[in-house]
Formats: sequence, C-alpha cells, structure tokens
Amino acid sequence: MFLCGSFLIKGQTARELFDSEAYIEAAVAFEYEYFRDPSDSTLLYKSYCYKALGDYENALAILTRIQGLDVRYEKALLHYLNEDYERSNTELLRLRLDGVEFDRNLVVLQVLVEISRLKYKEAREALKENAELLGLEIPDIDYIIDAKAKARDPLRAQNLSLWIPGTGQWYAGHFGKGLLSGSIQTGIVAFTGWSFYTGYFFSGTLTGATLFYTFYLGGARYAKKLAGKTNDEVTTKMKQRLFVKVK
Amino acid sequence: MITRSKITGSPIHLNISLFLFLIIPALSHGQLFQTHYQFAEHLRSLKAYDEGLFYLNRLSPEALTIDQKDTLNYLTGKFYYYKQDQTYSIRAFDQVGISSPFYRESWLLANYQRFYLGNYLAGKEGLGKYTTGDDPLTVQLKNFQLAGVALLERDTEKFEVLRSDFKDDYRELIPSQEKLIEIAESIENFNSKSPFVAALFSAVIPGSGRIYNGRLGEGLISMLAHTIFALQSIEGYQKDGPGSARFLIYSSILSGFYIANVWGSALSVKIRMDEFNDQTDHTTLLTMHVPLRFLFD
Repeated sequence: MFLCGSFLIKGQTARELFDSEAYIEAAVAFEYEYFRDPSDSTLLYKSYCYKALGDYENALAILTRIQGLDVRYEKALLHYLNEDYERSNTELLRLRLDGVEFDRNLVVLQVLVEISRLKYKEAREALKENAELLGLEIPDIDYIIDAKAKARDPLRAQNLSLWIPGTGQWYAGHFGKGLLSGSIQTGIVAFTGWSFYTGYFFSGTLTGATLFYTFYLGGARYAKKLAGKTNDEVTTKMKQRLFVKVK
Repeated sequence: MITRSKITGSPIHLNISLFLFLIIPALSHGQLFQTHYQFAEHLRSLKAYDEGLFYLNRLSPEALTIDQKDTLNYLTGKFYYYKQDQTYSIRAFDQVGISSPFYRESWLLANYQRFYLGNYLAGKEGLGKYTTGDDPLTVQLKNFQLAGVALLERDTEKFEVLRSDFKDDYRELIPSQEKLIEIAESIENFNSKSPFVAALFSAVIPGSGRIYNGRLGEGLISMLAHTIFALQSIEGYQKDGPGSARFLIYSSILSGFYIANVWGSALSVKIRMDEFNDQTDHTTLLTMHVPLRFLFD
C-alpha cells in the first residue's frame, strides 16, 4: 500500500485520487509526493483538494508555501470563496498593477468581488468594459445590475431611525416595518404625555420613558440589520443573474 | 529508556528523534518505517494533524514489529492530543508498550488527559502503573501531577503532603510548582458565602444580598429596579386606590420582582462559587500541562 517512491492508496496515485474526487486521500498523497520531491505544482494540487472540500483557509495556507508559481488568481479566488472580499480585491489589484491581462475568469471574479463589496457602479463598469469578452449586450448588463441599484448603508439606516423612528427601516426597503416601528414609538410617547397630563408622573416617567428608550434603540439597531439583509438579498440576486448570462 | 539527570534546556524529544534515526533502522527491516515516521513528523511540523491521522490509520499494524507498533501508537496518540481529541489520544497512548522510548511521554500525557476529562480516579490509577525505574525527573513529574489532581479534588491536606516532596532540582518545574502552591492558597483563602444569608439580606433590603455576595453593581441595579416599581405602585395606590388596575399591575410586578430577587441572591452565591471552581480548575490544569508541553513538544 505504501511505497517509498510514490504514495498509493488502493493502487491510485495522487492525481488519480484527485480526478476521482477522493480529495482527502489525494491531499495526503500530494503532500507525500511533495515530501519526497518538493514541487510547487504538487502543492497547488493539494490546495485544489482543500478548495474542493470547502476548506478555503487551509487551501490558502498551502498556497503560502509556494515560492515559484504565480498563484495570485488562486489566492484572489480563495479569498472570495472565504468571503474575505477586501483581500480578494487586493490580490486582483496587484495583478492589474503588474499588467496582467484579465481573461474571462478574472473579469467574472472581479465583478463578483465588486458586487460583494457593494460597489455596484464599479461592477457595472467592469461588465461594460469587458462586454465583448463576456459576450454581453447592454440589456444583459442592465438585467444583471440595474443602473439605479444602490447599496443601503447600514449605519445610515441606524442614524435615520435615531432621527425619526421608522425611517431607517423605510430606507432599508421595508416600508411596513418602518411604519409599525414609528407607530409603536409614537404610541409610547402619547402614553407618556397622557400620564403626565393626568398626573401620573412616576408612571409617565418610568414606564413611558423606559419603554420608549427600549423601542427607540432596538428599532434603530433593527434598521441597521435590515439594511444589511437587503444588501445580501440584492447581491445574491445580482450574482445569480450574472451566472445566467455568463455561462 | 531515555534517562536524564537534569533538564538542561534541550527538550527530551531531540533525544527521542536521535534514537529513532539511529535505532529504528536497526529495529525495522529496512528504511520503510523510518520514512513513515519522517513523513508523520513532517505533517506534524505543518500542523496537518488530520492528514497525519489519515496516513497513520492506513498503516497495517500486522506488518510491523512491536517497537514499530509502539511508535505508531505514540504518533497516533500525539496527533489526537494536538487535535484535542482526548478520548482517542488516551486510547492510543495506552497501547504504547513499557519498553518503548515513548512510554514515559505517552504515560504522562494519557493520564494528564484523563485529569482534563475529569476522570481523576482513572488518572491517579494510571499514574500508579509506571514501574520502569525511579529516575528523579519521572518521580518529580508524577508527584507534581498528583499534587495538581489533589487541588482539582480540593484535597488541600493531601496537596500539603505531596507539596513537601517538591524539589528545586529541575528549574523548569519550579514556576509550575510555585503556581500550584499559589492556587492552593487561593482555595484555602476563598471566602465562601451563605446562600441563606444572601437571601435573608435581600428579603430585608432588596439587592443587599447581592452586595453581601460581592456583586455591588448587581445589588445597586436591583435596588433601583425595586424603587422604580415601588414608586409606581405607591402612585397607583394613592391616586386610584388599592382595587385599581394600575395599582394591582404595578404591585404584582413589584412582588414578582421581589421574590425573584430573593431567590436570585441565593443563586448568585452558587454562581460565584461555580465561577471560582471553574477558574481554579482551568488554572490548575493549565499549570499541570506546562511542564509536559515544555518537555515533550
């Protein structure tokens, strides 16, 4: 089963194991090959194994051991898959600064990264610049990313709700929830005023103020969360449309 | 068997590696097992423990000599130890034979992990099984581990007996020994409170039971909350009378809050005790681990 020169599992080499999608076995076999005869391409294949297994951090860690091969595209892709969009963008920028010509894969990755970073305008520009390469027409680009599409700023949503309760939810795209939040808080303020008017100063101050404070801060935090959720929904839809149009 | 009169700064595993390179080829029937060992060490240096276990689990023990099986079990135990999978690590370490150069390390790490899992009795029995001589370092390490477990069991009298055997021959052990003594003092000095007294305090002055338990902030917040509900109850009583909905609602909330606070004050004593015990156990286990890591990593 184990030979000194090459590592075999069930009679298969590392590459055969990889091709048959036995990725854990293939990863160990590639490491054994590297141990016996160090080579960057062996490590790259090992990284592919972990990418296939969804262990992107481990795949990235393996890439750091590669000295000779240019693996910046692979790093950018793995950072993207690991949802570290800023690092992915940095790797893509480095490639661009080094004058690397972006092929179809790199352009698609760049667009995906820009969408994930909520840079819809930049993503549209990248699609327009590479429309021919990707085989897209202007209506296709409009279908993928609406020209008026704008990301919601979660902090802005929170601040809006702090100024006027309910408006942050409205800004986040949830008018009904904003109306409900605003109504509840208006009701609590009315209760507090009525309590003072009828001489219930302790009830007005302590119950009214406490309830208002709770709903006021809670509503603002909820508006922030809603804005993030809306952004996630929009970006997911954009990515799905991109994959429909770019096979 | 590896013996050293004193720790002089070079970890023991260097000697074990030397042993493997020199002796294993003679013990095995060729270079193959040495390659397995070197590759396993390579994976360990990469912290690729899952890969290491995958590799080792595919070696056929039937084809190995007794010494090679011991080495295989040691490596398996070590990979599981790094993965913090104590149960499998103990199982593998326990299979390392007494004649193996890895026996002492396996024996100590297996029993330390038993203590870590809370199996104090099994760990103490396991420590008692070592019968391969009485080299001073092993005796000191065993005594140190037993002293640590005495603290885990809160048996300070037994700790005092074992502590009297602490020696300063091994400078790497001294800080850990001192730390155990410090932990023993903190156990003896811990001022435990009575849950009954805490509840009584809170029954007389709401929140004071928590202050008695050393939780000033919690006590003050509790007092403030009681005051808020009391003021609203009084306002409802004075303006609308004892049968009014306003008075009944606020006084009911106040009553519920009061009862919960009395119960909570008693409970807070138990929580404080649990926190102290958890912290003490954690620090003790960490202290017991330090010399093992130093010697065997």
